[in-house]
Amino acid sequence: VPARRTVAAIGIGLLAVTLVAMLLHAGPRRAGSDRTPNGAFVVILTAGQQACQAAELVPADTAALRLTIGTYGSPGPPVTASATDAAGRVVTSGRLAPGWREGVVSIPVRRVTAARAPARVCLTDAAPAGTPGRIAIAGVRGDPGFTILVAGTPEPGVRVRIDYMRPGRETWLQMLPTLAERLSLGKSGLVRHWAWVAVPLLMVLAIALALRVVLADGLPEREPRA
Amino acid sequence: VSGPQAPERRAHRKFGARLRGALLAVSRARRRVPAAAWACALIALANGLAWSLIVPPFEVPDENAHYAYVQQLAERGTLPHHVAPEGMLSPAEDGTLGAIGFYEIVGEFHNPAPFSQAQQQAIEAVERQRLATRGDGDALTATNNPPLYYALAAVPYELGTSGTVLDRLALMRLLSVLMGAVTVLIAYLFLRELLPGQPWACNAGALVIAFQPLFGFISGGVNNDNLLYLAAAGTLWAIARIFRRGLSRGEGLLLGAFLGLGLVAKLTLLGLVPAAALAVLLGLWAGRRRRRREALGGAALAVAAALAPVLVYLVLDRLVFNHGVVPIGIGTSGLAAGGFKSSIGEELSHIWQLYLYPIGMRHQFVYVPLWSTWFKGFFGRFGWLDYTFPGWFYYVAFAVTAAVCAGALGELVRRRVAVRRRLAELAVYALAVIGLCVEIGVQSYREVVSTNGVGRFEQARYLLPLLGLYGAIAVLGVRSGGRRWGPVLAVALVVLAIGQDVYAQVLTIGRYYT
Repeated sequence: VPARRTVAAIGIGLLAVTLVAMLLHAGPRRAGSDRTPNGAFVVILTAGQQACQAAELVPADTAALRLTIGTYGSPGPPVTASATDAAGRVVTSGRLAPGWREGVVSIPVRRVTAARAPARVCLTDAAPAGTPGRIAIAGVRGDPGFTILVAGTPEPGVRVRIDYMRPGRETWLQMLPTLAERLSLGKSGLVRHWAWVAVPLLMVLAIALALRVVLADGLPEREPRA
Repeated sequence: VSGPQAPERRAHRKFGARLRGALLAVSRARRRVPAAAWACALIALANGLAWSLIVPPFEVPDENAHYAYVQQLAERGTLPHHVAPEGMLSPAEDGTLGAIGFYEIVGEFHNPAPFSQAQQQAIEAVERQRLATRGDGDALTATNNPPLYYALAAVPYELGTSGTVLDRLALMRLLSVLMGAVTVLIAYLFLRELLPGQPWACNAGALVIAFQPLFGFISGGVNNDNLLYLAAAGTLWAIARIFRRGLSRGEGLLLGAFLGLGLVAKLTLLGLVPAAALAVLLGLWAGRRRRRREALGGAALAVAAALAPVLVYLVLDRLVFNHGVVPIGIGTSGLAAGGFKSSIGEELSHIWQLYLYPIGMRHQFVYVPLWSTWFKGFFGRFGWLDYTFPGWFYYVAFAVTAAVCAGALGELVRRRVAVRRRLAELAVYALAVIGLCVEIGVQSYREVVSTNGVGRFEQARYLLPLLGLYGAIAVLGVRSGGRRWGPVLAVALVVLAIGQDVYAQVLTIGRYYT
């Protein structure tokens, strides 16, 4: 029995350590997303050109816009981003310095304190006009109901993917209150206010009971009668 | 005592005695079930509830279709039917699916569940509209399913009459979780019947089932697979009882009841019918001398109990619902509208290749289904097949599985005398595996034909009716350690199962909420 208990203690200890390590792993975290697929480059901008898309939800705590941008192998030009609300007031804006490498790119913006929707988000290739080079932004083509304005020309059905990023890098531990809140959204009113606390409690109960069963000391064994 | 009220008193006394008798019988039946079995069921209940709270609404495969089926049954009292082109769901369900961003999240690994209060307000705005709960009768992929699971789910649906689509879904998920718990309870009883003698090993086997993450994930959602798993576990249990106790009327009735129940829950259970039939035939053979009448009665009851619900369904389907039962069987695929040529040879080849390496056949898969679909899927592919564990995890899982299987095989070799005595029973379980695999293969080929070779049907969750046998492999694996190391192996395996389940839940939280 001691050997079994030792194995159980080591196993659960390792599980707890792994969980803590996961909770302490820091990384950039999202505040939200427009959930657009980004399977293709759908918007091409040359120096000085701007692309604007409406009907965005800019969530609270946004401190950067993350997009997939290609530069055809060249170092990236300066890119500016801005978001305005329905009344045309600037919600946030920011700039990415030149020299970045193509791929998934974060454009830092002034932190947004409260969510705004609908918002209009604009991205500008801020290289001086006439500078060679262009950027391609990933998104989807053929999304009915959306129109993006590229250099003033509407392109129906085109939408770029934007992820709204929280400031800096965060651990899950730091994000626990946010995670608890998110676990309460988009669910039934019957469960949504207590789901975040019920999940860990239920799992602790399940694990404790499982250990009791597998260590078998606590449960009287009754043989099934034939 | 006589008088005008005497008959009434006697009737009361009779009723009281009957009630006491019934309560006593229930109490006896409850006491026959080991405490560990109840504990394992409770664990599965807690785990399933946790899954049901973590996974966002409609993110369990086809949950929107299953919800639509229940809604059709509850709102109109009829079964769904295909509407071409694919019909609308009810405005209430469609509105909710749109508001929660279902169509953007499903299958799109990078797209999270609703993150902000603004999205929550949009959902509540749709809920306040009190949209109509009647659609045009289509339940998408669930349309052709038999109705038992949905009829049961209509009860929680009705309990949520004053609530929203999401409220009703949450209540219906509770029913599925409960079915998952009962499945584990029955699987425990199957293990004790199949491998008696060392209860600690059965505890481990049942716990490995209770913490199987794909099972937890599915049992946390609205899906008729949950009743199928329960019925399949019951079928295996009844088969094991026939081999251990002989075919009696009670055992026959138990087997037939689980089969009948399962067949009107999901036709996939047809895959276990050959194994059940063989078990009954072997039971008849074993009882031919001393218990002939009892065995014949058991066989008759098994057939009757299995057929009765199916016949009721067929008659109702023909006379009332006009629902259309799907033909299932090799050679029933027909010709697709697009001209995809099907043949029995290609179908048999398809079924073979779904599980084994093609030998002298035209390759029908560009991947290895045994690894990509079945192994990786069984050990963890979640959502609408849109997120998985990292690649290394499956190699670790493979190493553990190989070790457990080697241990189980070693145990069978060590106990070869007993195995030889029970070869017929072993053959029945092997037939259950083959039957289910063929059944899945037939359905997979139908999908290939009907979509002109584009569609994919196979998913690892279709193997979960064999959960009892999965638990049996775990039991044999830990028993291979003998009395000294076996219990230690059992603890290690259960802790690994817990770790996998918790990891899967963390992965799910990461997928939808970060």
